[in-house]
Amino acid sequence: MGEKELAGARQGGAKVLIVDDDVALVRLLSFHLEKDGYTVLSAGDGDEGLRLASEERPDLILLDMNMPKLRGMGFYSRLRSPGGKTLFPIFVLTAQEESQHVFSDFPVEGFMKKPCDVSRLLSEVKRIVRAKEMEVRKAASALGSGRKARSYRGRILIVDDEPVSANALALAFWEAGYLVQMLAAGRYILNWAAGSLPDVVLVRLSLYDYPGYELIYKLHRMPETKNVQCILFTEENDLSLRYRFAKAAEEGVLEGGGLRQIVKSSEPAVLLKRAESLLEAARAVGKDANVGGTAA
Amino acid sequence: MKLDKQRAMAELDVPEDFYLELVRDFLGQADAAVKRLGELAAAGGPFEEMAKIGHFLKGSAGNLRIQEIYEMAIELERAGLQGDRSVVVQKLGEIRGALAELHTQV
Repeated sequence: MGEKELAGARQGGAKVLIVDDDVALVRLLSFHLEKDGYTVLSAGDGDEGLRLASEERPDLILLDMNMPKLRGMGFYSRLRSPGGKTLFPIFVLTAQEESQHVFSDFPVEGFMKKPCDVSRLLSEVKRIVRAKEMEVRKAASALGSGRKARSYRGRILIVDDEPVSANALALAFWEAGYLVQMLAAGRYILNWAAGSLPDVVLVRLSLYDYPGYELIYKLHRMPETKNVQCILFTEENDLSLRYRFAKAAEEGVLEGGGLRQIVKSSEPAVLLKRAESLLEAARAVGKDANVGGTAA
Repeated sequence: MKLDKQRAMAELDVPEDFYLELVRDFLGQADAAVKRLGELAAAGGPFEEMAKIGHFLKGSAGNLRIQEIYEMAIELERAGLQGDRSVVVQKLGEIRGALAELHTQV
């Protein structure tokens, strides 16, 4: 994202997601945050919070530790990348004295004990959002500047319609030095991949609009993308796996599709390792001497 | 119990009509929580859930600076954690009474 686009995206105000089942507190915080120009989203339980976080990609999450369905720690661990960072900055609100101790080993942006000191909380929100904006500006500026361009180890295209998993994968690859692009539906892949040739494509087996194996089969039949390395992945406990492969075999796409890399895991660390070994192999046989490069 | 609106509005930096709306929101959730607490107390457990209700009331009342209920809820949570049924029942009665009075002030 260039700096102009970034500035444009910020005009509507940074997004703050409050995950708390205390209706009055959510209203109180929303009142102040909206007055200060933030866009506020709220969820009364952890499951709803995860859904909103994935869809809306907030700039900051204010997280209550003690809420229904998925408690604070469960919510937190679902948003952690294998590298230990969270996908979004998280600030913890809690009436539990011991929470600070519980979170001492985890990278959260801060804590506040309930009852909340509203003006201190608003200052904290401002501080965290500003710091994040500076970080993003710095990254955008590095991407936009030819002299300071960030070199990358390869282009990765992630096709995954499960938002939490897609975000976790994107973060893991980005942290490992790859240029990451994401698609949330299979139907876009054919045009997209031909126009911006990735080094590796990661495709979820059970996309809602296309079976993943069919997409890979189609990619490999197009002249521009016939040599693109593909990884088809699914959860380890995917009960439909056997059925899907039987169907793929029946449709004749297993042989011609080149499904050499099937991974029964959506764990970012596992997929990262598999992608790296594919790229390594491609480099070794000189199939793709141009893997990696520099983002302009 | 007497709601100290002036102090609460000053600390929370909100106008009176909005503060009263927040207290009504609190009452909606607190009434449901206390009803559930009554059922649990009658059934004799589980105490963990009673402690959670105390915890919720403590945080929620504290955030709105409803001091008396906040203090009762601290004791309720503690009694739940200690499995002390007689104190839970005593605090339940006190909180019920305080909520009823609060209803008349908003």
